[in-house]
Amino acid sequence: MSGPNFDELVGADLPPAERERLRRVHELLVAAGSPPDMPKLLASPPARALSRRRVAALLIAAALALAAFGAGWLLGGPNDDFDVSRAVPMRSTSNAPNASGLIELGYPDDEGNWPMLVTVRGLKPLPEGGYYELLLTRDGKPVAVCGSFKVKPQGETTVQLGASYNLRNFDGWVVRPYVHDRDAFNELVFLTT
Amino acid sequence: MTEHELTDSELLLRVGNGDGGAFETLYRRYARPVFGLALRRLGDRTRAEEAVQETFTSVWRSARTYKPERGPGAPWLYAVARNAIVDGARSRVDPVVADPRDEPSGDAGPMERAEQSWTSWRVHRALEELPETERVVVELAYWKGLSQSEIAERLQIPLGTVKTRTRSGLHRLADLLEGEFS
Repeated sequence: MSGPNFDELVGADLPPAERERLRRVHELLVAAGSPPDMPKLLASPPARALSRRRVAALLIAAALALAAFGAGWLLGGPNDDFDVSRAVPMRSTSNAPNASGLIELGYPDDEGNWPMLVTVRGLKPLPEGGYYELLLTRDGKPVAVCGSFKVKPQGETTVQLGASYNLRNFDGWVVRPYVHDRDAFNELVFLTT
Repeated sequence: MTEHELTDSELLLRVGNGDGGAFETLYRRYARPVFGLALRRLGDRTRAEEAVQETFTSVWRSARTYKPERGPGAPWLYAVARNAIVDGARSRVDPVVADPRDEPSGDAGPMERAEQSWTSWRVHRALEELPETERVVVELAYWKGLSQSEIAERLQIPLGTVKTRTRSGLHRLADLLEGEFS
């Protein structure tokens, strides 16, 4: 066991019992090893108590968090109407530069169905018959559909979708439009990776 | 009584009732120990950061299941953190199964590693309680390998002050570790 010289640290004038007490602390400090430097991302706790009424504020926070750290972050709260296990901000692409989006993932049921709330803002409504599709990705490529939705002309749109897959087999989500034109399927509007 | 004066148990009970301030106080006490535990287990800073987030999401969600009569807050939080970290590790496991070696290893076994993790957890948690002036000198002495004279020079303070702060910090740590954060 290494570490600093205990005698140098505490001196020679302590009563034996107190000296022994400090020696135990000394040994624990040496055994514990150095605490890590904390990353800036962890300076604040994850957002909490995600109220459905706070989604608009959360979208802004999500965009800021994503811009600052380029990573997802997690939230949850026992008082929500929808029990959220994690929230994943979506990053808009150049096809929807002013849009913002958030996926709030619930908890799977016994059969493995994952509920999710998807909230988007700033997406343009598609022509009649068109819709947006949320898909899970593997290696960045869309491979499994979680559902489709249409958006309001203004404000935010929240829809409940779901996935019956093992989410650990995927690496993110994308959103793409369908407008009676298969080529449009390649024009992703949101990514999470 | 402010939230900073509350015990971990009291904070957990408040978190269970949806108290965001208590949650933040608990986070400030435990973020670094959780990060350290995750870093040792996962060996990757990004994944360790994710594990911290997972842990505190779990804390927020499950604090209402905490029963103070079953024990103090620190072990409960340790268990939540360990579960979140293990879940995170499992989710990234490479599916390829390697041949297990049937050779003696010099590495610590599972029991030793568990004990080491718990020791680090307790000590790093206690460090968060020290006044900044004492924590700095303790950290410089133990983990930067500086002598008392070198610390005095580094911090531009008298040697006697370094000695006083170091000893005071050790006394305080002894109190905290004996009390074990009820």
